[in-house]
Amino acid sequence: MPHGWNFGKSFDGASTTACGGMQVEQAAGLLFAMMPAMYTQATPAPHTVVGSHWRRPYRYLLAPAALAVVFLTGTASAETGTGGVNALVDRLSGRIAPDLAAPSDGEAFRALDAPGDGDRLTVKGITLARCDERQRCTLKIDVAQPGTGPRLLLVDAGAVFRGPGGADLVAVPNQRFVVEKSMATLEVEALPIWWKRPLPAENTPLKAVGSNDPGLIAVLRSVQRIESEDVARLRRYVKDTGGTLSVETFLDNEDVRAARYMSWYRDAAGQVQGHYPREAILFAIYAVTSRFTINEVADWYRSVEKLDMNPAIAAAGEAARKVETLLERAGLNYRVFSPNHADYHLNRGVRAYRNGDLEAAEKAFQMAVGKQNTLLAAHYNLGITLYRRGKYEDAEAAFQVAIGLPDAPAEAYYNRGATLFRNGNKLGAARMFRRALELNPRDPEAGPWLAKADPENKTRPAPPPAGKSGKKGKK
Amino acid sequence: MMTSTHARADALLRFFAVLSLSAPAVGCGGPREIALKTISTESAPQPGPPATQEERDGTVPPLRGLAELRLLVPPELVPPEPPADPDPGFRE
Repeated sequence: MPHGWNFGKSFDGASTTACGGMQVEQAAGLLFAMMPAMYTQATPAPHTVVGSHWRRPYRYLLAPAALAVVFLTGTASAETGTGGVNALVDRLSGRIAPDLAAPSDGEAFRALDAPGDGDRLTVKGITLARCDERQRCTLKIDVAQPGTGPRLLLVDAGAVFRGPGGADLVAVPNQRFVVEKSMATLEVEALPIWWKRPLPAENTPLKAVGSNDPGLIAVLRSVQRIESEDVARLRRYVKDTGGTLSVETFLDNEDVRAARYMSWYRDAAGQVQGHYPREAILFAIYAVTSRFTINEVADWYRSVEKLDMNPAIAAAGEAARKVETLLERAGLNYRVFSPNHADYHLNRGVRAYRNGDLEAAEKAFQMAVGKQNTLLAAHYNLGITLYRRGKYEDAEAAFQVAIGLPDAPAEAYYNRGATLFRNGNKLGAARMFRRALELNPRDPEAGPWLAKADPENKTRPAPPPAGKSGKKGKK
Repeated sequence: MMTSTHARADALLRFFAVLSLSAPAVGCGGPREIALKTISTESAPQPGPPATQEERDGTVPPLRGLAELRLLVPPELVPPEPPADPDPGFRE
């Protein structure tokens, strides 16, 4: 069932009719607020001429007063309307009956708060209906409400549904259901959050917990925001050509790219809505929970979709752009996800280095430097790798670049000093150790090695000439 | 009576028939098996290459360690606020 708005019998068009971008209540407030000012302009006092009319000081108070009234009217409208907590909307994670709540594990998951208000919806049962081979799952959620609705149940990003064996799923955010009867069973789209954990069998009852993972929450809330607030902005690029909705514009900006990634449809009320690609959401979740990068996505296409190597790589490249857009919107470091960015190569280099593959590490750090030549960590790590490979001259050059970059740490100076020392340049090494000590006076090794490199203190900076500065001061 | 041309064609047909029948026995043909790769996301961290002999002897300064991995989720991340409740489009 495609989710979206279901404007049923009780739709009240007048209450939400837009008026030049404002709600009717706001427009009425503006008109009301402007009336005194308009009246004053139209009927000047008899003893004044129109030219001097606006010179009276109190006239200047009218415009701010009108704006204040508009603001207050708009705020009051927002509290009961679109901007705040709506009494007719229930969020899924806040309405789960206490007997469905799993306990906190003290780390990744916390117990959900029990629903309080008895006049609202309550989730009475959660079951995993099915999962297909592409890891798209459906939950059956039984809800009950006192009396009849309609009420809107909004699937939010707050709940994780736990099955046996730690198989956890999250509902795809921003699904909306209008519940009009006292009891209903809803089919909710869901995705697993862990790669490799086997999914429960069909019709397995699930429990609910809250997630403590800020990355997971950020990804899901970003999906919710994209499909609700952003869609209101992005749908301007969507054209209906013979019943087919597609993005048609000559523009190429962040919004248009996001709009192109989405699949567009009309909801029950005829309003254009958009879905962010489910695979991109799944890979973004796996990136947070299972450290997926574009390589694992390509492997996913090979093992799950049974694609050959080249189509799998192409599919992963296509998916990576959508995943990165979502990760960026969530405030995460999307640059670690694909080889379009230096951070990805830096991480590959670190892993290769730790595994003892110095050749691969050097290549990866060179790639990182090629992508972003101001990436201090890449130059620094390249210097260490070259040193370990016995390329001491090249290592010294890499450390030299590192210390030339802004905010170079004491370690970069120390390592350059160590390399110069090995290369026989003791005084050069001493200068580097001295600088490392300036940046970190508690450095335990820089001091002793400075003493060994420069026992006669030849590199000690000369004190400023006191006489000249004193005369200048007197002048 | 078979001509030599017929005999040659017949032999050729027999050869290909035998070849196609014996192919599965030697592992050829049949449904294509895709060499699936297992997805390995993270291996246990290794210590990296050891220090050189001179470093261990103390004749040259020991090198400092590598800059760490860049994290996807910054430690200071605060998740964005959820969007406001939508207007349901109906009134009680």
